[in-house]
Amino acid sequence: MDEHDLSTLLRRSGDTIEVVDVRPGELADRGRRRRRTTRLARGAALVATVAALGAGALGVDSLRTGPDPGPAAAVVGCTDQVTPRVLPSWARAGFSDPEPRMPYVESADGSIIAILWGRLSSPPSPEVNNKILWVAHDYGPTPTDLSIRAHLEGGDSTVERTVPGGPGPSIIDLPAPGCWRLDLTWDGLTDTVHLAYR
Amino acid sequence: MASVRRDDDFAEFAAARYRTLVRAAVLLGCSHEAAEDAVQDTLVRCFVSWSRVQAADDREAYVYRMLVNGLRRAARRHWNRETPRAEVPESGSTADPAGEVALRESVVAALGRLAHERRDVVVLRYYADLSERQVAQALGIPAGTVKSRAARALAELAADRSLDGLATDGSTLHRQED
Repeated sequence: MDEHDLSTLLRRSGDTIEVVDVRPGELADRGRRRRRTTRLARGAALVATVAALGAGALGVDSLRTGPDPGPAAAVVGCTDQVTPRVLPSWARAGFSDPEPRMPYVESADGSIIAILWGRLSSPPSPEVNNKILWVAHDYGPTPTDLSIRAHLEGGDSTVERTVPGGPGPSIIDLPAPGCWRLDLTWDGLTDTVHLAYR
Repeated sequence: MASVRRDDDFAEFAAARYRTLVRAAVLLGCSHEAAEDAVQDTLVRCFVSWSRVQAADDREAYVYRMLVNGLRRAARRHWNRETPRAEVPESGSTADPAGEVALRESVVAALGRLAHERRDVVVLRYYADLSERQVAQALGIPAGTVKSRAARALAELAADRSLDGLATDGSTLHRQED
């Protein structure tokens, strides 16, 4: 068997699979509904984030320590919800509570979340370190480290961090306060998450 | 007007690829139903991120990457990839005189005996007809890895006796006698 034979064989096999066409307009309608839902969720998250940061609290006692927050505008763009919420079902492994509530930030494509153990700050707070538990929804066939390329929104600063062994517990210190865009790569997958450091 | 053009572009894009994507997903190990779900979800995601799809260096690689990631996500949720079969279905079934189902089942079973990373390469390279570079982009691996996985998979399939006679056969399932 050579490449041509294999290609022919696969095409012949594929042709035996009956597929009922779907109307593209129906897919577009579903896409529009999904986009509306995402926008609403992001809008609500933005309001909640600005309100929480403006009030100097992230919603859990352990996050209320540290200096007063800066102006809310400094973190606009970090639109993720950081008040405690019930974790997605796929991210609950290791928690004793069947419906654990934690502050977490979801990535743009929803393939990974950052669970926050304390308020993120730069420089790191002496009381609470910048512990982040990364839990991926998607994994590739070949495990790799989690590579993070962090870029300060509105600034020039870009730094790289690595979480050995892939998504898992980490301490992610970044060099300046502000809204950071973290481009994440693991197992050949990529996604992006925004995190506010104060 | 821009949204109308966007809808038209998307409709053309989706209609041209839907069948091939579903069939590729089945060959990648999905049930027919799961394949349709995964492809529809992929295309909905494409619509939502249409500007990114349009801006992608290679749309084919981009959409297959989305599909493969979606299948991995589904596999983690439901483990709906097919289990490799130890035995090949009997040929010449009276319920399938043309041997089409038996052909497909033999091929899917043989693909299922490959390591899944090799299966992904084989299906994208030889069924979806992506170039090595496109497969590399779709799977997030170096082109050299695509080449080596394809070569190993081809050797494995060539040695798979359950496919004897199928690769060069015209339309029916015949098996060479030892």
